[in-house]
Amino acid sequence: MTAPLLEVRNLRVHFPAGGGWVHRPRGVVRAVDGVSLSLEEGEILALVGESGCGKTTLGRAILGLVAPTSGAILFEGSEVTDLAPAERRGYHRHVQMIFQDPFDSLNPRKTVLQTLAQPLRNHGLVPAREQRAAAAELLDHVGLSPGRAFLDRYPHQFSGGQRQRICIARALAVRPRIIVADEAVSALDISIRAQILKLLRKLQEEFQLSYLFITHDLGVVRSLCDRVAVMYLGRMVEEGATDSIFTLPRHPYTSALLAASPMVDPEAARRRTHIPLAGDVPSAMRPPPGCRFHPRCPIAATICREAEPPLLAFEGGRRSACHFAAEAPSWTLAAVAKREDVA
Amino acid sequence: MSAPAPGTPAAGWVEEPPRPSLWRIFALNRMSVLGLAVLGCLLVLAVFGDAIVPFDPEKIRAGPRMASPGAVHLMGTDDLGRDVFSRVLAGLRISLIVGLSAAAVSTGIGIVVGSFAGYFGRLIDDLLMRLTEVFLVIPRFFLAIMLVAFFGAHIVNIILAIALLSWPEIARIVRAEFLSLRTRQFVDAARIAGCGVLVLMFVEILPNALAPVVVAGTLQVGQAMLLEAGLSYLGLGDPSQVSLGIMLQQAQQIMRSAWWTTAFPGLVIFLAVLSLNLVGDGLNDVLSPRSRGR
Repeated sequence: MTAPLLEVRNLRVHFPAGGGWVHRPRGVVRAVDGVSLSLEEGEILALVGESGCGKTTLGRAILGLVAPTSGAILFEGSEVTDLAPAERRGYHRHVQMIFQDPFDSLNPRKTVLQTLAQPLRNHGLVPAREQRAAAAELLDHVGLSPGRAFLDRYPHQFSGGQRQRICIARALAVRPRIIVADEAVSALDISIRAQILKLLRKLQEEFQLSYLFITHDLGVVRSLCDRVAVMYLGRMVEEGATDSIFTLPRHPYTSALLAASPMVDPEAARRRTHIPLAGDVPSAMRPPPGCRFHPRCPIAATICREAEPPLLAFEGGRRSACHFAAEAPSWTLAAVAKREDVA
Repeated sequence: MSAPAPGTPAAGWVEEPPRPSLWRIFALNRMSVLGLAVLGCLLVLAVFGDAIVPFDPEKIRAGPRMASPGAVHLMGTDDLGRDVFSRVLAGLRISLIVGLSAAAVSTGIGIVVGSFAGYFGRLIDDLLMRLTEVFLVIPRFFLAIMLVAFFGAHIVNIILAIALLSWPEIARIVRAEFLSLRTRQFVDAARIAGCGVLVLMFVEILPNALAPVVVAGTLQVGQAMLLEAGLSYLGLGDPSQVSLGIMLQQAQQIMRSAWWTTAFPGLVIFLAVLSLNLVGDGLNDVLSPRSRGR
């Protein structure tokens, strides 16, 4: 079996909280706490979870923007976890990122041309006098045409959607194999969002890209992604093909996320079973013992408070970290029954 | 990480209103415009002083001793019969040179120290900021006196001494800007576009951090001129140069009998520093985040 295009093995990213040179840190934030995943050639993998679950940190760690505490990241089977600056530059030819906030990810003091020429120049891809033409061509690819008309403008002259297109063009400049898209459409208006998603899908075919799509929007996941990985409090709780997870979630957290996502059809919305989630995500500094989800889980039992569930394999390459994953379809009933007991 | 809930009206189509021109904002503050006009006149006088002045500023007995201001000697003469108007223009030039060079050197040091402290953080930040604080807590004027007394009252030494005392302010401003700018996504974006650390610091971040530095740097020109005048007044000025401070010092003895020997140099220092401060205020209006926009 060939190695996956990108593989993350048991990755941990911990940050000291507070403290400094003089004071000792007050604790450790376990933003990513033992996550493994893999991305195959040509695949669109969604990384889903609530705010603060570590999905952005995981994305940044894959790009080498934060240093992992332990674990490994492999690109085409070779380790890229702790690269020297020169090697990291080579790695960034293949793995790029689109950031969340199009108003923050373009340097306000640089023209579009200066922004797009940077990767071309740094990687020596295009001779200096052809950079203008190459940058214009990139803009054409992302639907800002004619590209040459936009080259000498500054970011503040563009709308959010246009800015995100420029960011996509910048990521494409090095002709990467993987693009990590961190909430790439969540800051955009709904109507613009659909256009950008369409563009991303078009580019995937055009340039044979693989995406790691970090999002909290399950609508986006369903329409774009082949596979889903669900994170909760720094851990992977469920993973599998999109269709199969949307049909039968094997972790109560996934069910809750699905239940919480807005649906267009009111009939369908009424028919589905709700698993309400109480409270907020606990602090990543002191994760709960046992299963991290148990304080908010509607079906938590004694075992959940004591033992951390392993990530178990199921049919079709699915994995789930719940003690009751095998009994999946019956949860909703159990949850309802439990609620009625309380009432 | 935190993202707006789906459906929240987000920043999709924010059409920015056409931005008012920078001059328009600056002109809103009438005092700054006045300051700019005065500063402009002073600069012209200082640069073209040689062509304007009626007498050699150093020439003894260019006229009668301690003549009061009149048609021939606009600002009178001093106790050696030197023309005060010619000396004021020459002194203004030296004072401005000292002020501008000291502020430039100080801003340069401040930018380098502040950039490294703010970009790298942690140990480097701690070390550089403790060093900065050491310079901040030493009484400036006394250290200047010591430095000049020790290394000699040459104009270059005076400039360096003043710069050495002024950079901490700039360093702290630059550091604060870097601390907030280094976490911006465009910095990460440049990093994965293959930029090295120095490019990130000085091409990506620094241009966005310059606005408050320009303001502080402008104010420092005035402060440096005052510091130079103070040093000169205490007899630590460069004796080979005519600066406004040196004129004040030399006229100490005859202040009562010939007021014009101190009044005019003093007035010019006052005008120069005041106009620099007013211009600094105006620049602050232009460059402050309120009007800067993203």
